[in-house]
Amino acid sequence: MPIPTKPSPCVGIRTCSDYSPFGVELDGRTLSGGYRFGYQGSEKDNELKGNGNSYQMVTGRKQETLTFKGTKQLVKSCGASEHRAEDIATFVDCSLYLGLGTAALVKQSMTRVAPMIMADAAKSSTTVIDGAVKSNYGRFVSKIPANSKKSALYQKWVNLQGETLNMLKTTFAPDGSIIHVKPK
Amino acid sequence: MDLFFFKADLSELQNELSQYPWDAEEHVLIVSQRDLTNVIDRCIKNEITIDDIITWANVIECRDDLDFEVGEMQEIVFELANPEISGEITKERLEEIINELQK
Repeated sequence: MPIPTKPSPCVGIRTCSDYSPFGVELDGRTLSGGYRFGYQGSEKDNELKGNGNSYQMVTGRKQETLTFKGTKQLVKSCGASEHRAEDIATFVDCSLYLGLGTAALVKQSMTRVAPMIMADAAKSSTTVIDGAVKSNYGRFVSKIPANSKKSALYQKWVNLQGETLNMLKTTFAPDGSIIHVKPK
Repeated sequence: MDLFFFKADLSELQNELSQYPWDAEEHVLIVSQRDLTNVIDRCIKNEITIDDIITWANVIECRDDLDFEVGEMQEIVFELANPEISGEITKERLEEIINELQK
């Protein structure tokens, strides 16, 4: 007569560590089978960023209006979560918004895409942005045709490393209505 | 350079270009007056359509990796890329542009 069997739980140790009084793992006294989330149910620091790397999370929610001295262009620093327009909603890493056009076009764009962060360029303070972001801005300005200023708005989203995340061109009709928005 | 000789379908070239990063500190290509004249001339000769030249101008407009031999060419490309603003692109207008480029 066969003996009825039932599954039984198999218990094993997947990880264990012995620590010195100052928290350093002791050599030869640590056992790990590749189990993650071993630190209070969370990943250990090196599991998150790798050994020897640093890690910093930037939320990019700072709201600030910046203009470049000697120019009328408006540069806007904003968080992506504040954008509302469908065409830019996916750019979650946005840290800087650059808009080139007349102040009225930029303002109209701001009204459309980010009502919470609309600002009056005339009242904004002067701040200098350095490094890669400034370099990106310089290239951006040099590429915008002089004839476009009254009828087209060029927008660029740049991260804090100065890398472009997205670029759009919005074309306006004489009555101010938008003819189209084209990705660049 | 395929873009300037329309060696492949324009939308394919557009897709290919979109794979490149926006940012470039150095210009990879300087567009000469002759390059621009050739493209416009092909449109006049019906080798490419007006829509092609509009799409083409939109592709090369505002690219960090491209520069123009003469500053005025940037304005011409803007005109070609934005007929809604600059006015309808006709063969007569294209011929005028070529004359301007050859001055």
